[in-house]
Amino acid sequence: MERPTRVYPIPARAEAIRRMTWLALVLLVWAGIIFARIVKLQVISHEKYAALAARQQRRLVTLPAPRGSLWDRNGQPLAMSAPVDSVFVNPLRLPDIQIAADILAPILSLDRAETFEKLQNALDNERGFLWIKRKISRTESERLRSLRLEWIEFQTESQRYYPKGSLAAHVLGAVDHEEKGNAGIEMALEKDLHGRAGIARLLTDVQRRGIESETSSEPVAGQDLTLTIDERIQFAAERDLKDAVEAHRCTSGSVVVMDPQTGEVLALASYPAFDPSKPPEPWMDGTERFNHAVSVPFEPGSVFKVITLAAALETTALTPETPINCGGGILRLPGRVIHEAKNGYGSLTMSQVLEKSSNIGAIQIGMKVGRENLLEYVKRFGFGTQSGLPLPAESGGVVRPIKRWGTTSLASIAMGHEVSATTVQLAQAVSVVANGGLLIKPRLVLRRARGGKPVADRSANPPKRALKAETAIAMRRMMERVVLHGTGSKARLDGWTSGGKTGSAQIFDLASKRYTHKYNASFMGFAPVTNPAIAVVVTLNGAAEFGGKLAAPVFRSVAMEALRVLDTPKDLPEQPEGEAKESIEAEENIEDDLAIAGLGAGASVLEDGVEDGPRVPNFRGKSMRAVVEEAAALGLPVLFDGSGTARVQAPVPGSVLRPGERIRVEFKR
Amino acid sequence: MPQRLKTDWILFFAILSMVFFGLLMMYSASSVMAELKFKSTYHFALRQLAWILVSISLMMLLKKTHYRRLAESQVAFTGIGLVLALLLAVYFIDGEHHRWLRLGGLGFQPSELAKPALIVFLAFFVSMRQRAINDRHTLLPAAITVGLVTFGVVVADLGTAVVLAATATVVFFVAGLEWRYCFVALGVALLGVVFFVASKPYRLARIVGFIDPQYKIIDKFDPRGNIKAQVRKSLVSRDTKYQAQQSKIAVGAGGPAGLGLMQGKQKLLYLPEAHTDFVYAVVCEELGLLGSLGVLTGFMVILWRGLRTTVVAQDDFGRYLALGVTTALAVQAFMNMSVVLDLMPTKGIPLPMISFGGSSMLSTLMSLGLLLNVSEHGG
Repeated sequence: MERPTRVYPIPARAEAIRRMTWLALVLLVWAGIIFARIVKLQVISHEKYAALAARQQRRLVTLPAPRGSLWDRNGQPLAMSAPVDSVFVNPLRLPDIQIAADILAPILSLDRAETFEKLQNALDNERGFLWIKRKISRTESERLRSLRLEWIEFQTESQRYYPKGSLAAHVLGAVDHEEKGNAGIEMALEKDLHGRAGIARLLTDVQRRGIESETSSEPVAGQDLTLTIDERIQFAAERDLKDAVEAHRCTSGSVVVMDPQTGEVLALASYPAFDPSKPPEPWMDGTERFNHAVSVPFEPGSVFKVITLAAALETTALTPETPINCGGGILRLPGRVIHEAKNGYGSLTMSQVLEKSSNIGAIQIGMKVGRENLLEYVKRFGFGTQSGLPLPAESGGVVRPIKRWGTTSLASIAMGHEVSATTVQLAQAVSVVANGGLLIKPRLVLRRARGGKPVADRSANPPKRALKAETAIAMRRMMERVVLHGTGSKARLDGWTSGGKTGSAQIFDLASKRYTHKYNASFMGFAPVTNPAIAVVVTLNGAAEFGGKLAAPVFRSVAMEALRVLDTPKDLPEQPEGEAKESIEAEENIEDDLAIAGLGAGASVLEDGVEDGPRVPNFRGKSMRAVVEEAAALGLPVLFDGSGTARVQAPVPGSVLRPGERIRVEFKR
Repeated sequence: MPQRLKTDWILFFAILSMVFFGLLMMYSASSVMAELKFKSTYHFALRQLAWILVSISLMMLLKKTHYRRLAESQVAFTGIGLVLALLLAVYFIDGEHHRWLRLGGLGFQPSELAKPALIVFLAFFVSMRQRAINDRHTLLPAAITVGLVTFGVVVADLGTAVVLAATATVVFFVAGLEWRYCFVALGVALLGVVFFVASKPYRLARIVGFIDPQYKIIDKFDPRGNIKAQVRKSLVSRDTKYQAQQSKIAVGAGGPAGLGLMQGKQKLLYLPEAHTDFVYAVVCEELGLLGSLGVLTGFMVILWRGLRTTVVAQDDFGRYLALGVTTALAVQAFMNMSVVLDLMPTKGIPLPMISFGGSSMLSTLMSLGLLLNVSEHGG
């Protein structure tokens, strides 16, 4: 068979084995390289690769903690959070962005072209995530969900609701898009309200889908804060402040109502107000968010004479009856001349100096007290340091050290100039007189709770004695006389005794470095005189007239409302209605039942069956939180009453809500 | 010829333990993908088990059949002819990959069958022409046959083609091929590899991704950027480095101790082809050094028994048969491991006995059946 043309040597078996040894050697070397590589990767570089693996496989997911609610002292909801849906899509996974825009835009009331453009943009940039609309309403969410389109994805976010609208806006503050406080208590107590977000470690696959959650720290809910604010007093304070500022064309104003015995702030109003549920508009300069009660100090003026006189009672031999020579209405000080009344008051008792708010009298009393003592008492009354309210940007006012005083500083400070203070500081100071001499730090937080369990408040601040009790009582009597016979006559209340002091400080214009003819008109007072239940300070900035005329009436109406709300026993015989009106001349009597009147009117109109407006939903049997959430989703105004579960509501479910009408819901446990 | 046959128990148990260990690891590696795609973690494992049972039966059958009955020109040429025909058929039937032949629900890759067929053919041919191995009349037909088969395979499966070429080269080398022919073969093979790499952008991308991912060298001798453009044509170019990186992460993250069986994380779709070409990465990740060195040792044992068989084989046909089987298996296994460990560019080659794949299992176990038989007769 074989036809070898050439003869080749038969390869020896030995040669074959030699060559196989070569082969075996090559394979052995290869195996050795593999072995070395395994050792390198698995032993030497193990940590590097373990880190790389962890970085791509693990994802930290924050589990949001529910933000704490804010309540008023009677359990009325002031701010609460409820879950809402936000819509997003993965533009890369959309079947068709034209169709997507067609579907999404009308339901979410967005501009179709704009939506399409956003989607197109995201697609062009290969972005796999796009918010379509955040925090949508419940109806929008239901309509979207009913489409059952898998590419429409939802994320639950938390929405802050302020069921009382702009009420107490400066106290509560507001939150930003991420539900982080950016004003008021929401900002100052952000840490407590926010709680602690939980962390879940997700093991994810290559598309970042969670496969399993490995470990997690549970979210800790934020604290629910019950504030010292009484919603009804707050309402009255805001209404009366607004009316006064607008009627007298002031620039701004503030009112603080405090319980002088405990330091609890019952109302804190600042004007202009804002709506915390609306983000600031670009055209707003932000001044409406200034809290004039705590952030904007001003020269207090005559109200400060209270401090001067109190210091005199304690550090000098002067008594309320000691006559002070106020001369012919002219006092010459180095480089300055003080004028007063037309021909001067002549000789006044110290008590009368306060009644008539005599500057010359106050200066002379101040001179007797002396620099050191006056400064000491200014500080004892809490001026120059922050009151410590949990509000952002609180000012401590300005109290200069003696070495920076000028020649006339003593005289100036004695009548409330060359120092500055905030309305809250004045409320704190008048409380010292009202409560018998104790400096009590004002408080805004009454109780803290987390998940229904009370949380201890560590920030207890023991009261400090500022005045002897008898000094405080003497001051009270002198201040009562201011209301009875002096500049504060418009602060007289129907049924209760009251004491106070007016103040009208000329506003110093920083630009021209002179005092203008605009005033900070203020009134600080308390009621009833013997056992004060409230201390009230009213400040109207940029007023054209004096505190006795402008601020005192505000004090009167706010104080009377507060005393009614607090159910304080009357200590004056009831005056016949006509007589009362007469004695308080030209008082614009603001009727408190305005809101209730509106409600009554709505209820009666209901019977006419005019079907024009949104339907009233059935709130009965729901929790307060659920009602807040639902009402906010529907945009319906609701008045809350009591606490617990909704039992009674007016108007009845299914009826039509007239414009301006509010739904009253009563809650019972 | 009365002869007491003695089964090579070491080889036999090495094979069986590799196969069943492989099934377990393949199950682990495939469970995520199976759950995601087929809603059953056992989807791939059950299929593999069926293939294993069929393949072991065939292996036992071949183990019982005297290998010399294969040393016939009919068998050798029929085998190689059938494979060539199938390769031609699959080229047209599977227009996309030229890889899969589907019969009912079963898929089959003819390129895998090329391995045993070529090994039998080479053993037959070389043993027949043993005396004239360096003759043109030996080399030319052999080169044509090997070339045809390799060419038939290379369009679909570069990895297997390399294994085939390497096996053929080794068999001829051991048979006494002159060094100059060795170099010629090497040169031709190199040229072929370069040609086939350059012909498909994704192959070029894989190689470039391995050697020069930043295009530093390429920019120097290819200033006009032709190669770069070619590479960029392929979408794969983006993840050639990605695959290697994910594989290294799996191996490295496993560490010396491993994450534990079924505890691997890289198979959560980070690792491409976790249950096929990169199953070894899952072994390393889950079982640590025990797994990675265990598998290496397993193949070393088979290599040792295989080379031993070539020495003790009774005749040339048996010797070259054993040599071909052993070489093909060892080269394929080492290549796969090298790819997983990022020592070599990605090729798309399964790990024998462990990766998912019926055709691969079948061809591997059939070849090993032949090896077992040769070993038995060698004593």
